[in-house]
Amino acid sequence: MTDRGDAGAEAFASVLAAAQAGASWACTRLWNDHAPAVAAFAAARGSREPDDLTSEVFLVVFDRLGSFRGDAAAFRSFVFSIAYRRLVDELRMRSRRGDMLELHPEEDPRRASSAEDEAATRLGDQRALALIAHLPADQRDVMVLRIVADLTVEQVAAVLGKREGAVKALQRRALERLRKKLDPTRTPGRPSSDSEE
Amino acid sequence: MRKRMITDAEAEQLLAGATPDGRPELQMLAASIADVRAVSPVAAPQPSAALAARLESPVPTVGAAAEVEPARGIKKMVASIAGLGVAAKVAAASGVLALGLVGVGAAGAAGALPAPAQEVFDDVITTVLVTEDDTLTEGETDGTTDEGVVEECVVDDGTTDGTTDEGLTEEELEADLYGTTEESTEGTTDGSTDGTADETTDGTTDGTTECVEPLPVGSKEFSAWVREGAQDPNKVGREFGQAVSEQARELRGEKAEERSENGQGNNGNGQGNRPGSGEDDGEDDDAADTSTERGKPAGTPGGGRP
Repeated sequence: MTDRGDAGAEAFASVLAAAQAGASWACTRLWNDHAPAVAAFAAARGSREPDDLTSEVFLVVFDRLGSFRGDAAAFRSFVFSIAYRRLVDELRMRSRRGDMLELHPEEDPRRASSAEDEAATRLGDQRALALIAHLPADQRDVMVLRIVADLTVEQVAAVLGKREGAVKALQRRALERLRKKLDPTRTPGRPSSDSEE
Repeated sequence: MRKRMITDAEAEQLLAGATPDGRPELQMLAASIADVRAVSPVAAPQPSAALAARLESPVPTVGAAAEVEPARGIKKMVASIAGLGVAAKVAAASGVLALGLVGVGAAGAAGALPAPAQEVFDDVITTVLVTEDDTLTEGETDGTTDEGVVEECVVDDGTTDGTTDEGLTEEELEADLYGTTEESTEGTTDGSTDGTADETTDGTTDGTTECVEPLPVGSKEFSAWVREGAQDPNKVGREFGQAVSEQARELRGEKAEERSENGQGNNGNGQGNRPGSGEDDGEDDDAADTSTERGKPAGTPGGGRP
């Protein structure tokens, strides 16, 4: 590990220890460092209230902080594991109530005021969100966690409870699907900004 | 022309927003993924009221987690003991008592107890030592002990009757036996390892072993007996625990009798069960009754002893 990596690891360890001891500044630091990615992940995966969901996730994180042992990467997996479960709960609840489960911004008639629209605003690029939103759910989970949450294959496997080989296969298939979607010969309606021509 | 599949290495590059080497056809895909990466928010959202309060005054979690572990262990142990039957509980308690006695005795002998406990242990040992020093008559105890014990042990069946009928022989035997006991005890309580004490102890033990299982006398023998019994899987349990308790009670009674009789100018005889008297474990009821009346050990046949 590099000196920079060592310093980062030490810094995280001190912040974690302080947060576990009940230091307000340390908990705020953890929130500021991880909440944006959690909110982006929640929004990209179709949460109606990604901010509220992020707050709920961190309430659980702080409740369980005393039992956590590990480095920054492990903590990131820890946080996103909780976020993923919370998100699944929300999607399942909405599914039972008959709400839309999948995120299809272009096909959603309530698009103007929907949570997907807010999520797109958060991401700042409707096209980017749509790119991921058309993927099957399991591939979308992997792509969002890898791109938006910036997790490694191992971390994604830990969050989703899958084997690393399965995660790699899912991301390969997702990339192949995206490539076909972005292929100029097969997607004539794609945005011009994506075109190389 | 058929398109090449995306490899894992190329996938890693694409997910990082870079175009893999030699794959210009993936440039558009890489750019799109880079766009998604670039638009990810960098500012934390507004925390909810509950989270804001939590961030203001966090609750320490490390200490609480550490305190939970032992309680969980104790609860588990209590639950497991509660699940046992009555007999198993008694056996477990006896085993714990026996092991505790062994541990305390060994630690006290080694001087390894905490200071206050060591003081108490030393006081007890000193009291026993002084009492038995006072009652010891060296001329009577030396030399006769081994003979008496061996004689009794060799004649396992009929000796008891003979000695009982012959009053003088019995008295001599008593003196020999008590002398042996006291000397053994002395050696134990003194902690000395002189030849006399060792020989006497050995002789007594050997002799009684031929007849019945040896009975402990004095702190050292008692500790050794308990220790051996605790390590013997056939003994650990309720019966052995009862035997330990009974023997401890008898030893205490012996000490008390010694003290009371020493005040009357006695030579230290007249106590209860002694190891050298284990030879009387023969099934002679008369002898047992006689000995019991005189406060002698003959009335303690195998019953109640390990």
